[in-house]
Amino acid sequence: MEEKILDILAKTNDELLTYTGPNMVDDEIIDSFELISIIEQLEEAFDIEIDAEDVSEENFGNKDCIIALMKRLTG
Amino acid sequence: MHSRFRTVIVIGYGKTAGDVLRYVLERQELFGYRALCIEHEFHGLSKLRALCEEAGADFKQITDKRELTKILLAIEEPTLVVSAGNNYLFPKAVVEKDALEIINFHSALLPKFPGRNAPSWVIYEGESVTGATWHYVTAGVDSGAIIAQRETPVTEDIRAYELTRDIMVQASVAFQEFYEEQLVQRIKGRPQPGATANRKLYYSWELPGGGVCSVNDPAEDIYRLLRAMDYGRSGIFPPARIRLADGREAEVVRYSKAEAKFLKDGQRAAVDEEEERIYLAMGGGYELTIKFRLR
Repeated sequence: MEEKILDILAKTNDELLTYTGPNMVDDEIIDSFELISIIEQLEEAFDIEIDAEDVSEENFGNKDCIIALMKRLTG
Repeated sequence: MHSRFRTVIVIGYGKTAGDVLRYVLERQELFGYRALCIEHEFHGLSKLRALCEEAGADFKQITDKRELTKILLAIEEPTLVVSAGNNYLFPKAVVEKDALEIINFHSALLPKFPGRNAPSWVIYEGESVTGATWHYVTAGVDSGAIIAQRETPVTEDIRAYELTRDIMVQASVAFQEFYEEQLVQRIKGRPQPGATANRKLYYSWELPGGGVCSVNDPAEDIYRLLRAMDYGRSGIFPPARIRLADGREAEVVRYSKAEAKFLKDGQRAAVDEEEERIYLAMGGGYELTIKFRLR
């Protein structure tokens, strides 16, 4: 699963693989449009729905947050 | 170099407002004006306040239309108002105020697609090129003279949010190309042909195709409608709906175009109710897969 997630993130912006800060949008690694694209790709790849309330700094701050969210949603 | 304006106000939210504000803040010392940012609509990912704080510039969040109008009407010093990603409609009294020069960014190549959600209509109408327009604000909607335009292609798989981003990138580039000149002398705008009171305006409540398609429609038309309505989870549009062959209506959860693998040769469509998926044959050996939810 992690590999698939990292692949999606790398396709959007490979800086996401090394970024460890708290908020990849605030830190301008990606913009809000790229975040939409990541969400759509994750939903497609894992056949899940990510609710609007899950789109938060806690869940989409960096790659580790995203991996943790995906484990929870697919668990 | 000295600006004609004592103050430059940036009103808006989102990527273009951020890019514009950054540029305006960087030039205030050189051109001798004071920058002010007004956020009229709250946006969760907005960086406007942070940009102002960093630059020591004024920031105001004014969500009340009447209060914003009152503040603009009270301005007596020469002021440039830059409206970027802004849904506040400037009242006639504000537009006609001598102290104010108001310019606005529109997300299409005016005079085409005036009004709201232009990238959606551009995709839905099958345009191959669109772009960003900066224009003077007049009492009519998106009808003032054009200051600058930049084009961007509408590629065959592009979704509304992706096109919006591409347009915003062009809007920022265009702004940087004309801003300094605008500060020093009024750029003579190019009047919009056909920008009359009778032209078609797109409203926020209008949905491409009414937001509904049918499984019997050509797959390319369905795909175009879904892309036109796709702003992710932003809530700009409600989810698109698709009518099944028996007349039931389902909500589209997501969709994707990929190389055909589910449909057999010559098969046009298939519906898997258990998996809640529709498969539609597209040209060029592609297949459109739609994940749906029955209402």
